[in-house]
Amino acid sequence: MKTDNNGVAAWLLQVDRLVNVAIGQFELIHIIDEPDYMSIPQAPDYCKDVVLWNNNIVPVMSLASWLTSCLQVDNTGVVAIVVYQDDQGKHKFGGIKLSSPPIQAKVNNSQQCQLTDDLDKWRKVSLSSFKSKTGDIVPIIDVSKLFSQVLLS
Amino acid sequence: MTDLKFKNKSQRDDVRYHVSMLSFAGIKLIVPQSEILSIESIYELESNEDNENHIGVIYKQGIKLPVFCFSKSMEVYKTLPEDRFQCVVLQHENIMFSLLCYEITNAVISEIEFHNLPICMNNNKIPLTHLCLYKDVDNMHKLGMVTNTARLNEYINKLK
Repeated sequence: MKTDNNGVAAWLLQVDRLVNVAIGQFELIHIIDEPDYMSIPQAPDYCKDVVLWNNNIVPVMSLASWLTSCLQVDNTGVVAIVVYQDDQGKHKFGGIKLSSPPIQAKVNNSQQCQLTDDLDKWRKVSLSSFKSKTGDIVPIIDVSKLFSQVLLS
Repeated sequence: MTDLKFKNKSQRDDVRYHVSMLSFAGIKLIVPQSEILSIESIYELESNEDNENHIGVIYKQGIKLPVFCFSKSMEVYKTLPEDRFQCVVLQHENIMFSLLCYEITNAVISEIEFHNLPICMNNNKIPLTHLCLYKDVDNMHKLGMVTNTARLNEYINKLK
């Protein structure tokens, strides 16, 4: 990630009305508005859809569903396409449903903080966390882990 | 020409695949055409009086076959929806059962790319073998859900 005096560039993704997460600047590669989903029968509620993007089959995560264990959540239809490396080092694509368009931010070391108990669920898929300017704790997502089998266990 | 063979890796082939597309509840399952034994009228369906997961039975070659009816998410329907007009009999080795569909169409697909189910969603409950990318008659890329009789049978057995 590119660093300057203001910190490291990142994207803030609002995945629920009250929840933001962050990913690295170069992990977000595209935004799709109102994609055509294909729902996969019997897939987990938080990852039941795939989309066709640039001739790739892309699984789409609803982190709001995962957080609330509820299928019906308040997403806008905006999907962030992210890139990550799988276990074999191959580039793969994933989608994350958003509640609003992503925002660029700078994050520096002084903002680092621990996840509180109410955010414990994020430990499975986060690299670290920081306190935003509004005082919210924002998990920094490990995108490879998010699209691995870790949420199934 | 080649019957649909399922591969364990993403791959684009130039061979032509004979497939059947089973449409119901807004979804379309792609199965090997060689596993379609017959298509029966819905009027052949005898309703099920037992408390079973299947919606009824049909008789094929003197054998009583269970008929299953699924929702979009492949949950079992126990009452007949209005949009099921055809009853497809699937057979593979000694497995034979029937599914109620809205429509069954045959296709020959020349450009198809098979993909394993994404690992982040593969909870071993999904009644599919693969996802696929193929080109439709208008040369447009389409997403598809690939399954076969054995995989569907495995899914049905877990419902019991």
